[in-house]
Amino acid sequence: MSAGLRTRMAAAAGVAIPMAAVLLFLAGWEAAVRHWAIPAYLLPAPSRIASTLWAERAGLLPSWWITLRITLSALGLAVVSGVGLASLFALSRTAERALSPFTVVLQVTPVIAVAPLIMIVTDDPPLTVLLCAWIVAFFPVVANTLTGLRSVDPHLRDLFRLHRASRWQTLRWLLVPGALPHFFSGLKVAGGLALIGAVVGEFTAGAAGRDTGLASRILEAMFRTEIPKMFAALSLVLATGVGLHAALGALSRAVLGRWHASERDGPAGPAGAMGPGR
Amino acid sequence: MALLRLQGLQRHFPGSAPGLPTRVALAGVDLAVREGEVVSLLGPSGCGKSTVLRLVAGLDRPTAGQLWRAPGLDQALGMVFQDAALMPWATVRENVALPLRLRGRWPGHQAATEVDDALRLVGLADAAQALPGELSGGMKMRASLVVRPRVWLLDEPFGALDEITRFALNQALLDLCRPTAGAPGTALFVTHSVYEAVYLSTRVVVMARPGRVTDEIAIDAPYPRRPDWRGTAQFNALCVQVSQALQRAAEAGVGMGVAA
Repeated sequence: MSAGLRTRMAAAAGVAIPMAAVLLFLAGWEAAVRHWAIPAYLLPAPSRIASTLWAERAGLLPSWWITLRITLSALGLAVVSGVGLASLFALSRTAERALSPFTVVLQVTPVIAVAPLIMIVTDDPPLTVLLCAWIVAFFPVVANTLTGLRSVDPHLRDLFRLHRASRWQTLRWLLVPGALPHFFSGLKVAGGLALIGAVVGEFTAGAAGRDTGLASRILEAMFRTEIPKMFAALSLVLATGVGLHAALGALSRAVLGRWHASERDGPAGPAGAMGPGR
Repeated sequence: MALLRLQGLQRHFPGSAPGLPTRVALAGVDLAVREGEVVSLLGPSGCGKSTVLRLVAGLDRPTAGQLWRAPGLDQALGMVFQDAALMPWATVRENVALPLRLRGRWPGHQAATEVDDALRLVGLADAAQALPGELSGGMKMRASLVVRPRVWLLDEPFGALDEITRFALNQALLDLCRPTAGAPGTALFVTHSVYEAVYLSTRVVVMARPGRVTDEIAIDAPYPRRPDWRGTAQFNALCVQVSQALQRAAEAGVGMGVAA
């Protein structure tokens, strides 16, 4: 078998196998609901969730858009603040010593517990939700970027010093490329967390009014015991999370692409073999 | 013409924790390297060989003593480490071009020609666009030897390789450091191997703990040296002589109470 064919088959299997597993799971769910005649207010069948999703699209899609927007804004904020802080820590031990307690506090604080406090201080539901999402997305970006900046090969550092590289040159040609893989693994974690933060934040901030996200739709459906609608809104959250993960994974592969493949396979390994990104 | 001169060079490292004694890495090293010399630094672990190299490279500062470098030499040093320090995200060509890039000459037409010629010379023209992760250990080492500085600083560059690759690369290094035409190359070479030191050098400097020179042995054999020289009585006699000097250095270092 040629290497090209094997690569394509491996790539196809990497998509087909998880798809098949998910379809099988949904089919089993559907069959179980029909077979035991489980009422929709206990567990709606996937087909019922899908039809509800379509029927309720006018109410759900704007909410989905709001949740997505908050998630992406929080992720953007987390990247800017996280990379900035990690760079500061990498440059200055004093800054790290002074500020790292705060980053740890941010990490260990249950967002559910602080959301009402933020709400009281800001008196602005969308801002509260955004801050909640930012709080949870922030730490993985800082921690991973800092690890990346610190993990640069000391011999390469020596080489840059030997050649009298300026700070800027060292940053541009050594630290940034060296930290990218760690940054991207942090970004993937942060993406999922930002979404969770956006939903949890909205739950606890009790956002009301017109501009509300998917969490409000889930709460609303729960109060009215519209269980299929609850599942429909939840499935949108899940689809967003999966889509976000896939998009960030694709971004990471696009940027790191060949380097990562070469690191993974080594000189004798198959070119471009499939496998989860590290 | 002397390129490097070390006089009474000392380097002390403060204890790693309060109350721990200062560690003497170099107790006073005298050494001169002239243009065209390949000087091997040989000695037991912890005798300060690598510290000498780092001081010469300007990566560290001496505690006391004199370190003199020929004018302009600090711009013309090249260093090779045991694990071939290459940027894993950049192609071989970009790695080779790093010193030029840091001097603002890359990308550039003349620099590109220089790099491509140098790659061809070490037989890496076909691997120019490969990433370091796609190369074998030997190819990586060749990639880090491509650009030719005025003085090579080699820190056990072949320590992690198997014997056969090591021999092949010794030969490659000889060819690179001592081109048949033009100026001879100069190198300061840290190694653990007696055979390597004898085979490659014009002079073997034996060091003992704590950081001092105990012996200097001239290797009077013409270049180019070819593998069959390893089988000669002269080579073997030199190896015995160096081994004995190394043995004396190891014994002299016993009981000095200096951590490796």
